[in-house]
Amino acid sequence: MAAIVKEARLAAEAEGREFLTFRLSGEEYAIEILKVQEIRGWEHPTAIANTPDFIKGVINLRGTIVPIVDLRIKFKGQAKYDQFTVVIILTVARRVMGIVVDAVSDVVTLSPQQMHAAPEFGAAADTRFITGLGTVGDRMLILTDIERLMTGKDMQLVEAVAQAT
Amino acid sequence: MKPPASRIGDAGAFQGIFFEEADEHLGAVEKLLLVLDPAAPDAEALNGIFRAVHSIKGSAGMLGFEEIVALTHVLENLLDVLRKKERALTRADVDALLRAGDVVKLQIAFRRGSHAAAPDKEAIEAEVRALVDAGGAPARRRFSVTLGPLAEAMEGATLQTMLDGLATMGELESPQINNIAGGEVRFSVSLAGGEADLKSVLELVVSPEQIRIEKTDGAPRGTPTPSAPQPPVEPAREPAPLADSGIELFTSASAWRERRRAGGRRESDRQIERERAQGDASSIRVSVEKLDRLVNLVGELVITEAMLTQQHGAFPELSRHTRNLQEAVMAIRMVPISAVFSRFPRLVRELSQRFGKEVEIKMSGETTELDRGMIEKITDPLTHLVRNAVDHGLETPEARRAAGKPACGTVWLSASQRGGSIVIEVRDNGRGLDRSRILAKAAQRGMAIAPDAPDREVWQLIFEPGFSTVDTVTDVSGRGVGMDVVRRNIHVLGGKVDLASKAGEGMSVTVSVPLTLAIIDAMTVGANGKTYVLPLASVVESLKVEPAKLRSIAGHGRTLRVREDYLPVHQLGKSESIAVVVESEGTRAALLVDELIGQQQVVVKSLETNFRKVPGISAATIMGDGRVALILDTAHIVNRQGEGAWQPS
Repeated sequence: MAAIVKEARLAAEAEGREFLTFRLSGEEYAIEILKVQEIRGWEHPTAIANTPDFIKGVINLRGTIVPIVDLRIKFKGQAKYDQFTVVIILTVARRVMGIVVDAVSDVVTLSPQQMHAAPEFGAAADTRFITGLGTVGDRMLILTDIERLMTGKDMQLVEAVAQAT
Repeated sequence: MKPPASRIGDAGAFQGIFFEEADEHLGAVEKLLLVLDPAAPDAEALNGIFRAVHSIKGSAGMLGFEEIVALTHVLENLLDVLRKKERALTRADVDALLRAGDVVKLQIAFRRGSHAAAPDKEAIEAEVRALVDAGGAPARRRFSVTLGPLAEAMEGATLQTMLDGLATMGELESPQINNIAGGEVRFSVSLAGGEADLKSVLELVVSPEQIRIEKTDGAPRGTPTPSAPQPPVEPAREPAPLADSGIELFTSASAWRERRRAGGRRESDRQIERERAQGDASSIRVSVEKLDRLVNLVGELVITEAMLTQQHGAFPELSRHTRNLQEAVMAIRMVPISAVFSRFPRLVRELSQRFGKEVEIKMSGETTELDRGMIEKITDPLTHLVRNAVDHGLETPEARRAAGKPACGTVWLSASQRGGSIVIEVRDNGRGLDRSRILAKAAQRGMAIAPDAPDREVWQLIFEPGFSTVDTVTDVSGRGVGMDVVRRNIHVLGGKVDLASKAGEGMSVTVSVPLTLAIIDAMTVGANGKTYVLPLASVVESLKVEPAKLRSIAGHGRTLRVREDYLPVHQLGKSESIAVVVESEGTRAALLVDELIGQQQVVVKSLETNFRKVPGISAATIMGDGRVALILDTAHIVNRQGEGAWQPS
């Protein structure tokens, strides 16, 4: 039932939405392009004490203090930084924040036919931020509600944001 | 719950204008009401209130905010009765008008979306209605009405509907109808409502400037007849003189827009603006967002200038211009403290009524300016202090008379600028702090204080959290409710609180806060290859550490002996040779750093804009090299002593 509702909702939304895709832990994720402000090279942030290790610190983005989250550490626990490391600057929940991923792939347009509801994973994994799966040729994209992921409780980026249910 | 949609489609911009104007009008109304003396009401003040309420009603009607129209309409009726002296003004009127103003404020807040539910207006509406009918006002008043000269003949049906409508409101007599272009319609009507009621019905069918209403009996008039035509103020723009200086309803949305576009202002607006213009020159309204953006940009420039200087040496002109620009921009953010003070007369009035006390409030230095952000943050602590002064400081009239003081107590509020800070004093001539009660209370709570301690130390006790609650100290000795909260809030702003008190003569609380929150004087230190910023206000001294004076204490970290004191130590970096002594709320701690970099002004950037609060860090700033440096929260560091050393990284 939930899957049907989800599919219906996906179908109801505007046709041919654009997504930015990136690779993380061998998987391909897709996030709505409208949430992406820019893509930057790695610059060493100022570390902040008493924060989890995946929060790398804050950078000065043209006068704004922006937190940087390394999703590689968050999802697989390790990361190295070199000249190929990229940061995706997002605008979510009226905040600006940066995420570090393995690599940014491309921008794809997905028609409703290419978007499918995500299978139920059971309670084991927190998959609430996965809104569906996208198919482009033989690539499978994990459609991600990046806002939900970044404002989630375990990201510890935001205080007391009401979680949509 | 969402407010119903407004009547006109492109109402967004108008709504914005309406909300701002309505707030201003309501502010003006409240101000006028508070100075209104029931014994001898100022006719001009009453007229001013009437005009402001009428303006709100007119615009609210335009935007389809029916509930606001309904309430302001009855207010208008009451004000109409009062300004025409059909009945003497009473305190009850003023109270009701003030409370009704609050309800209108809530209604507007609801329409704006900043208030969750529509306020209940029925009670206050009924109360105001009762006041309209109260007193010696005649049950029915008789008006003779002339409509015309008509621009063109009215539709017969419309005319009939209007006459029928009037007949249901009251008695209609001797209509003389000459319904042709240039003709007139005359009749007399007696009805229970006021002139405003009548007018609002007539305006449904004819334009306001064609309506002439004369009262043919009833109470004698104290004010000139409102039907006397006013000389046109701007004849070029407004060819038709308004029938009544205070009355003007836009008959259609397009008329309103047209008037706006033409630059013509409503009479009431002009009146208020004229009053506002007295003393200050022309001004424009700028959104806070734009202003903050400007401040941010200048902050950027300051940083860029620092970078340039670092790389290529100093450019004295550039530095000077940058600093001047920065000062000029910061000055734009400055708001007179009257923005906070103006709420206190009302507060004091209400508190004095609630506690059965007679209180007068005297204010000075209202024009002292401080940063907008600061204004918002000192409002609560100041409110608390004023409330304390009235609630606990001042005695009842009987007690005051018994003590040989005038029955009416006084609360003084004053503000002044001293260097880079603003000093605000809240003083009362009440009973003052009761030293023996405080000492007794301290003993009861097991606090160590010598019975012969100086007053200054005794007064400090009331800042202790939980020291004074309503059922302990306040009943007998006075004040202290939440004084710890006041002090904490002021400390967060980088300010301080001082107390002075004399038994039987009153007490004064002095709050001093920095002018601005956006830029602070800071000391920069290096530790572990990182730069940290310490607010200069909290730095006591920096010194070279002699290893012999650095001792470890089992389970309690280490201490550093500085002259007579043993200070808890927090090591930020690797080196143990340089210590910076910081102080917060009277407690000190030593921070061991690797190097002292220097003193400079830094632009404070909130971490919470895009991130969240981090314990131990109060904000961030951007250094000359473009990197982010963290501003340490000294209060947090100092208070964490004993729980193990606070580690910044």
